[in-house]
Amino acid sequence: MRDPLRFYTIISLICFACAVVSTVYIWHNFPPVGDLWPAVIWFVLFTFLAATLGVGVSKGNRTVTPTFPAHWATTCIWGPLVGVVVCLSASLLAFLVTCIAFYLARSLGLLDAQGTLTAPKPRVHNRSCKDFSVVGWATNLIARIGSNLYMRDLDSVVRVIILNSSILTLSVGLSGVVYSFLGGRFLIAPGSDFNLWTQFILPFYGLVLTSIAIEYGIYAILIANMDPLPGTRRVFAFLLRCKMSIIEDVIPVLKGEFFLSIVALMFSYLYMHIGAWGFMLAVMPVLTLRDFFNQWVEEKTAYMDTITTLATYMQHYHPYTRGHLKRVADLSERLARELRLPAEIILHMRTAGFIHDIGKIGVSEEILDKTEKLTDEEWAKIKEHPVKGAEIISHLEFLENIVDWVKYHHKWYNGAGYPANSVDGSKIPIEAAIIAVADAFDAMTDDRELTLDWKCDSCGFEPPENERPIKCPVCGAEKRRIYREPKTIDEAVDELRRGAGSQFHPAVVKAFLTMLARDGVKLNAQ
Amino acid sequence: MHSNPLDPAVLVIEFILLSVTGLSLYVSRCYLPKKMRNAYIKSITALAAAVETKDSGTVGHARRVAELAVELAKRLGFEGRRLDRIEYAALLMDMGKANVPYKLLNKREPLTPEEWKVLQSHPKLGAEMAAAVPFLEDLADFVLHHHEYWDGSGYPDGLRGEEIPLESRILCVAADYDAMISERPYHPRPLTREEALQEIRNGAGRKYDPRVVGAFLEIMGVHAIEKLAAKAA
Repeated sequence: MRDPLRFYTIISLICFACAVVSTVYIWHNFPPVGDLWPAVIWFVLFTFLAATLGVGVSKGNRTVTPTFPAHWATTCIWGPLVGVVVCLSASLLAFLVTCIAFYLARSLGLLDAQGTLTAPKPRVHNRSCKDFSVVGWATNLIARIGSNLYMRDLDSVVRVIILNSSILTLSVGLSGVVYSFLGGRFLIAPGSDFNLWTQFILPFYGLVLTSIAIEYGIYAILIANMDPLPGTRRVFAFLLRCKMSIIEDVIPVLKGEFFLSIVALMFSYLYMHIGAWGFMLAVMPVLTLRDFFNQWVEEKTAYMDTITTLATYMQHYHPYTRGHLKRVADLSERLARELRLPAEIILHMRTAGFIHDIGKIGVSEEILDKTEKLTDEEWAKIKEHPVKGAEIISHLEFLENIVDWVKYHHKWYNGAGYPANSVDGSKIPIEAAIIAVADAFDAMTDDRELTLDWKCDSCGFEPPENERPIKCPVCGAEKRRIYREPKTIDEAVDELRRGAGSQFHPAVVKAFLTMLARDGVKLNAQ
Repeated sequence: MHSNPLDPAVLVIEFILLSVTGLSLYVSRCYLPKKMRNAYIKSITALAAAVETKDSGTVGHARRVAELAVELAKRLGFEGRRLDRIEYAALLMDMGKANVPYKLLNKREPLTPEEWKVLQSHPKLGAEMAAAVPFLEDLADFVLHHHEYWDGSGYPDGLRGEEIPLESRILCVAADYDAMISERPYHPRPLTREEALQEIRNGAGRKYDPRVVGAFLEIMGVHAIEKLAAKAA
């Protein structure tokens, strides 16, 4: 498990072996019946259309993490399709054959979540994704095949194909077997005895569940292993990562899939009664639904991205804070994990770490930068920032649950700190206490000025390396920010230990110390 | 082997599928964009308001400028997405002030040349912020040039005339008008509506695009007032 790639290969091989076994099993037990070839042809046409009608991977000059929109949209269509098609095809075997053949072609051409598991991120410039014309569609496909082959080495392309087709074979084959064992029927001859519930609907949902469980089970394990969380014990980190990937990727998709599975059910019913023409009748609904999910996910992601970026950007008026915020975000996330908080909270912790100081936007820089003692009035101004920040965040719909974390991140465990008279010290949300510890530790140990390029604020002069003059030698302007000497890590740890129970939440400090002793201070922030 | 295609269940299913198609088309093309748009506007307004807390005289400035700019743009024949974009640009345009020191924004005395330089960097920072977001990147240009004047005397690039994007010219008029009629540290006594309109009219062809000023005066009802005045005389 130490080498992610090896693990990936092992999983691929296991899946492949299982896939071969299940294919052989199906070959023997479910021989083709009925009008096999029309079904195969319709199926290929249909899935090809559905899968290649563009999923935007890159917008403008920025590549969007393909895991989200692309993944969701492709799986939204794929999940129920697997189910549909098993029922539809005249037999499991016929379906398996088309499925594998199609998937081989598709893996080459289409980028999807599984594809991104192997390193370099493919960039697909896919401006014509809404282009329904044949030319646009062909260009699209060729561009994708080309960029995938170009961006990845042959090895990983082969690995992806093997893994993807095995996963699909497994999820289709096994769920088809489940369908058959539950008493499901494939084609209904007119006048034959047929119970809708026991011979169609119930087995169908058994099939959908099995297929979803197999696919996502394998994906979750793979994602967890390719992108493990640093800073916690291995087994726990692994399990937690699985859980997080389920919450992040699987649950939103599941909702869509269960909805689509109803469509799929009707789709299958049509096929069972009127044959291959059922495909024709159902093409439009499935395509528009796919488009709908695609759009929904894209807008949602774009919205969250936009607002978080803007909010983060806004507090970057000090180049110094950039590194600080990122480190606080990282530390808070690790601490939350160390404290075994629920996965939903861990996911939000990063954002919270990034924007916990957003209220400082309303505080004058003179006060923030002041190195001498502050007057009472100035203190009062500074003390407003958590409340101001909470107020700003409360307007941003999807950040509602971090409002209190931001509001109380300067409240002490013993009730001191600010905002005064707000809550009892012991009722501070633990997330706020986490941000407080991360913030304090990073502020104490941060040698901000030394790590950053020195640049004059007014004329932009940059002295040679390692020189940090107090006044700009060209225009004579004074450097706005002068920092004190940073504390060493030991000193900072002592400070935290002393503050535990009064300023800091003891449990958080304890977790922090354990984490520090185990992992050191290595931070992910660059 | 197959039953009659006109089996009632088949017809019902087909009907349901078609309604699903229609519904999802409606949701993805009409309902969803509208809902997301509102969420965007609300959030960006909140962020803009946060920046305004720095700049004591300007609370509500962005919101008012946005309304005015949208009216102007409508008058100039903008529609749909273009209208939305100008609204976002108006809300975002002063966000670059997040990076301008507090002291500078609230200074009563005239600014020194260095301070001007810092203040004049705000469109650039605003544009940078917009460019960092894929959804907003196409309005970076409008934000960047919202302080350019028609005769080339504005900043940051000193563009003149038609070189300035039309959206920026609209934003410029709307923002200047709102700044004139509201209280600012550097002019504690705001202009009255008439004085401000006069000022804008004088700026036509010099600071502002004459076409935009024409539309602006129209929506401010100046023609009606003038006609009344002529009648009275």
